[in-house]
Amino acid sequence: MHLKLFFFAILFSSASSNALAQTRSFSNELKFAQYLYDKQLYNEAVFVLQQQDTTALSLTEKDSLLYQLGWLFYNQKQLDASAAYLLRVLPQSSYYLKARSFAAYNLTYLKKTDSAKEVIKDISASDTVIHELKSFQLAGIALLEKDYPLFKQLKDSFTYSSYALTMQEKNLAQYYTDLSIHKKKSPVLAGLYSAAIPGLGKIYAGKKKQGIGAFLPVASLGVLTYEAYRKGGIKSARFIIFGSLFSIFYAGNIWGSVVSVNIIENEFYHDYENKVLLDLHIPLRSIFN
Amino acid sequence: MIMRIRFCLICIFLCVAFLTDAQTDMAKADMLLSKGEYFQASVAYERVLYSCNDPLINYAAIKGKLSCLKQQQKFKEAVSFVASGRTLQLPDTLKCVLLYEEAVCSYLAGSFENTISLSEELENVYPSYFGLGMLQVITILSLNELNRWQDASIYYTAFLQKYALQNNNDTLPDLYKKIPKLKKENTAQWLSTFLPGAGQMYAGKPLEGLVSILLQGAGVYYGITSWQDGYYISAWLVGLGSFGSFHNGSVRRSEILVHQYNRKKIIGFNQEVKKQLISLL
Repeated sequence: MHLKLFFFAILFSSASSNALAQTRSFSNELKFAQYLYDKQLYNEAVFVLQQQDTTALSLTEKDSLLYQLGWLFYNQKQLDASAAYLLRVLPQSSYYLKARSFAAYNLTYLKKTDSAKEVIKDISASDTVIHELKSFQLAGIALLEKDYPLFKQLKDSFTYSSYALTMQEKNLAQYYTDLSIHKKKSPVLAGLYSAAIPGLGKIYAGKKKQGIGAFLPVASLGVLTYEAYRKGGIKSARFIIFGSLFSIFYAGNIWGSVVSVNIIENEFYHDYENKVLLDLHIPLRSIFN
Repeated sequence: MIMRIRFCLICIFLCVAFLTDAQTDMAKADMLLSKGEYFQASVAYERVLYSCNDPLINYAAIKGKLSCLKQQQKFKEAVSFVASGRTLQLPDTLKCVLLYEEAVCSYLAGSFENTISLSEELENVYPSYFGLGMLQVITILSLNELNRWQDASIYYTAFLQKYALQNNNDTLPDLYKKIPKLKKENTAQWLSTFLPGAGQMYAGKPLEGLVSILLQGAGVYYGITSWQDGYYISAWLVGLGSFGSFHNGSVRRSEILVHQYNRKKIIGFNQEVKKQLISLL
């Protein structure tokens, strides 16, 4: 009798385990994906989740799946794919606010600021922190778009009272001050300076070493051209060679100064863009993690 | 009595259920590996590691995933992955296999210091296991890659002696008797400083040396003739300037050429040793 029961138990358990293997529960798969995520095996985790048959899932499970996929892509810096998944999370989901906020950030980072603004505006602010976070994100985007009047308007709604936002709100306000007092340098003026004294345009643009570096070869070629003219006259080979080289270097120096101003201006704004994006990111981590 | 039977049945049910589940996953992973679907197979092996607590099954899963990573040439990942398997409660015979695998992957990943350290660990902790030929070979090759030829020759001699004993063949040439002589970068720099082109010739590039002499000579010639014609500024700026630039460039170039020469010699010697050792395995 006992022997029969023993064999029955073995048969039953092996049959049930086969059935288990065929239909793994969604929660177990989610835990397995989390295990892979913890081991920083992001591609593997995405693979496991993408294997899920979404038609067999409940709405809550589907939202969890979309959120997890969005989050995995976010960790892999694949922000486009991340935003696409996060935006599919439904408002009923507990992940909705986090998903929307991070999707908006991803879109902002990808310079899709119009879409980001739409996403932020669609978020229903249930409490004051979320409401302020919305204003904060929109203000950050306004700074990135150099829309200073709009930033000033949004800045007025900063309360500087939420622990997660205070420091970054102050930072954005400081960036606004820096950007609004920044005087744009003129490429034409830089060109004129370099025409008067080679290299001066670059010094005006803020590149002192480059300015001195540009002055020396042009000045040397100028002196050589003068010597060739004085000794050999205008038709001498030396004058023609050195004169041509001097002309090329002189004109190139003027053009270089004009380009330098544009590069420096771009670097200036790019630096602030990075600062703004970093400050937009920190509160999201603080509030939602 | 009835309670005891019930307890036993529950235990059997749970154990068999989990074991067969893990074994199914294992079989699936092995099948994917045999089909060459390495990424999917490595996920399946990870599933075994996630769901199963049996050390022997986990050991098999680690070996399986290791094969996948090796096939995908992800040797750095393989090193860190197999190192994580050290925490498993395994018998020494299996633990040293994992350590050996870690050493091999470390060599393939180009982490030669780590390979030597792992080999030394294997040699000290599992001395009987160190008899494996491949481990000695990768130790010698790693030492070679780090230019530690003196240390490598000790392992090499021991390896050859063992091979001669096992195969009754003591006619193999000892390659370490002809270690390549490397040239000194400093000597090349000094030569180029005082004798234009000599550094390049020392590095085994006489044509480059000749070009260097011509370029520096042209600068000096231009300077002297300009000075004689009364073009003093031109003589200083162009003549002396171009000579100085070519001279400095020549000094730097001779250093680079000696470095390249030495690198070529080192690679050539290491390749020769590698070829011989692998043919003996």
